[in-house]
Amino acid sequence: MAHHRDLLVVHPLRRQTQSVILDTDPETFVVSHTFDLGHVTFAEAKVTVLQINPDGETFGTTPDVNLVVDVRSIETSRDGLSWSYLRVADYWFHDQVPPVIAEGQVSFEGTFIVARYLRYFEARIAVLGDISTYAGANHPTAQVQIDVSYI
Amino acid sequence: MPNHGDLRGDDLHLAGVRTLSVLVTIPSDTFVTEHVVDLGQSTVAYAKITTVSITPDGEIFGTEEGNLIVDVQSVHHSPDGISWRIINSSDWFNVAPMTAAGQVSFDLVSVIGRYLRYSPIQIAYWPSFETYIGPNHPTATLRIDVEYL
Repeated sequence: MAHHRDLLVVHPLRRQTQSVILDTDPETFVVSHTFDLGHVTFAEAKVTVLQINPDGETFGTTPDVNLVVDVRSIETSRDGLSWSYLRVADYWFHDQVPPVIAEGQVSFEGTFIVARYLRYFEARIAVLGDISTYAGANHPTAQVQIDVSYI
Repeated sequence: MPNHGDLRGDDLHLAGVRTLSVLVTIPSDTFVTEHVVDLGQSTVAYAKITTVSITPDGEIFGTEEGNLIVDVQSVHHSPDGISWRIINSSDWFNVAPMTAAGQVSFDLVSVIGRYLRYSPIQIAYWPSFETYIGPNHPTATLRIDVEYL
């Protein structure tokens, strides 16, 4: 008698990607973005600086003088309402992330555990040193691309 | 916020996402229990607890001093069910004392070695979190929902 074994169908984990291009606001100097990954997952994410418009300011590595492109925090949420920190800006700048000052630079990358939503909160123009958001008279901006790869 | 809609059914399955639910009832004589969920492998998981029902048996559940709550003191994970590591409360989203049916609390996202343990789950006094020791028999039933890869 023929014996038909049960077929074990294994669905390979499908890798997905999302990308977004954002411009910091020339008045508030910040922009935020939330990715909906649809479910709990691991995600790799990074920020690439596409363009910097200094508008009279100088982006560089002199603390308290030069400007940098910063991300205040990366956060995760299950419902889009209650958020937990995955990374915060002070931690990056003091220990891990070199100042982001030039077009083409890739930074703020990492592998994260995401409940469903992944938020880059306040990509911004900041003053190197205390990492405060720029508050000067000019209107510097930056355009960044955020790429997320996840299962 | 962009909303791409909930993934359901086949979409979730193709993404390799699985779900598991279990009901846990706190004994009405000891007022304390624990529960271990076996996810079968090392993975990443989102988990939450929902209060299904509360039987006060003459006691009052609430957040006035001396009221009772349903409490989960800690959540751990383990690769072998023997050696446990605590899941830090910084990985939890909403941690409110559970005092009514339908309430969701202790939801978290974390890497899991294989096993996820809630211990102890208890009827406790607010705000001391000490296990109930009164003469009555209050109890509660909770549902643990886990979504994992």
